[in-house]
Amino acid sequence: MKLEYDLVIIGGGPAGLAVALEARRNTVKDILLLERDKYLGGILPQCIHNGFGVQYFKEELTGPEYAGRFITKLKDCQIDVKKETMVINITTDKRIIAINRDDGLLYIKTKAVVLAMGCRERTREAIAVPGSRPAGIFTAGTAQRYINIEGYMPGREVVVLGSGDIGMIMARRMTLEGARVKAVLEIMPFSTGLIRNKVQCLDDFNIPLKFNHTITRIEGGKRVEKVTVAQVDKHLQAIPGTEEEISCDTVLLSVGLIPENELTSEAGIKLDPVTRGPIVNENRETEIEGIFACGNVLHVHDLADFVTEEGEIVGRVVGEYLKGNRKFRSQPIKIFPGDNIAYVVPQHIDFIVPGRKKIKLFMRVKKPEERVKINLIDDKGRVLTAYKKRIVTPGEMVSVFLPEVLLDDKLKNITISIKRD
Amino acid sequence: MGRCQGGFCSPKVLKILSEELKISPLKVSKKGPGSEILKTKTKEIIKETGVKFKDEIRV
Repeated sequence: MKLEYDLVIIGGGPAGLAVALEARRNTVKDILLLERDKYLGGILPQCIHNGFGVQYFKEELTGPEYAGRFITKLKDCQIDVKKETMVINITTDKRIIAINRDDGLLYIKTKAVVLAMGCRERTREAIAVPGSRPAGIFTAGTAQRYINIEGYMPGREVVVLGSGDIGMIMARRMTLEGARVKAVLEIMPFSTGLIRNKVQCLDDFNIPLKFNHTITRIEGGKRVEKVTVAQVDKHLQAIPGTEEEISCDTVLLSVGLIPENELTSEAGIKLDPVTRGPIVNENRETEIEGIFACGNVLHVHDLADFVTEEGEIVGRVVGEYLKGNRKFRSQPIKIFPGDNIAYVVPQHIDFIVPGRKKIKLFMRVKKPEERVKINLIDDKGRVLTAYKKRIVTPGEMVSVFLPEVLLDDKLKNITISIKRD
Repeated sequence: MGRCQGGFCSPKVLKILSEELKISPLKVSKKGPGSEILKTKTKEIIKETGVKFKDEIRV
């Protein structure tokens, strides 16, 4: 079998699929897509709710439909796909070690690598909820898999901790299956998911969402029997006297996602402490030339459509990289998060690209604010350009354009700050 | 447990256990009877309670 490629993509979710198709469109020849699961699409096959594709296809699709569009296209593209194949190591000189049941251990040599491994859910351990360890505690995505793929209900009376998107979607899904969702608790004073999910999944189904609340204790011997819920203060500490017990047999956790960067770290690539993904330039290229990253492994996106968009960026630039068609700036421009900005991707701009008009920057805010200006500020504190937004919230990624004309040779740093308008 | 703490693998582990032990997935437990992971098949709760959800949604 073939063990030398121009491009190897690790992960066959929306990011990996977009890279494969777009790289092929940009005449990259030998492409291998590696997927650890039995099927392509990543987490999309279990996301049977609608709302996918509104941005990208301008129509509303379910997760399986959205994935299906890319998987169908892939079949006519002569892209090698290996499923049930797990990458166990990537070296700095772009050798990939993978395993599967048919081929055993595979040593693959490639000119370019794209990291598209996605993310995993934070668990009870990550947030340290006290109490016993009975059956009935699931991350929202695991419950989603049990219900939508396996066809089993993991519970009847549910409390959801965290207002992440999957948690809100599962609150609705379990309600539609006849379960009683007693409450969704959010420790912050705002939802960490999309506004549309709060409206369509909770408000429309009369599921109470309690802000500034958390679970202080889970009780039950064999199965979850009840949880103790308390209000929290400004420092997120439970306020004594506000405790309340809710009986339930199931706790769903929707408390954030973590990019799966074990392979990245083992390859010696530095991670951004905030995104927990690699630090990249505008091509989504890591500090090792020819190793790129996109999708949720780079930073957690709130829409699959944005993941596809990022995958396509990488698909396009990989071709240029392989041709050696790139011109570096005399020095990179670093982009820093300023007031109320948690992170910005890409973290630096490295290239001079003839004909490029603008660069799209993606960011997340730390706390919600209304009527704001997003200022792009240079080394000397001058505002290069500014964008008005009616509302910004941590649950919704913000993007702004950086016009190419502003990027002169002397520019070293850009800070992005949010100011009240 | 590994880094996903059962997030990705527990549905697969449950399936393997049910196949190898030749028991229903509903019988697979965390620590013996009473600690089963799953409650019912989908659509069963609706059948039991007779709640048709669309009747309850007020537009």
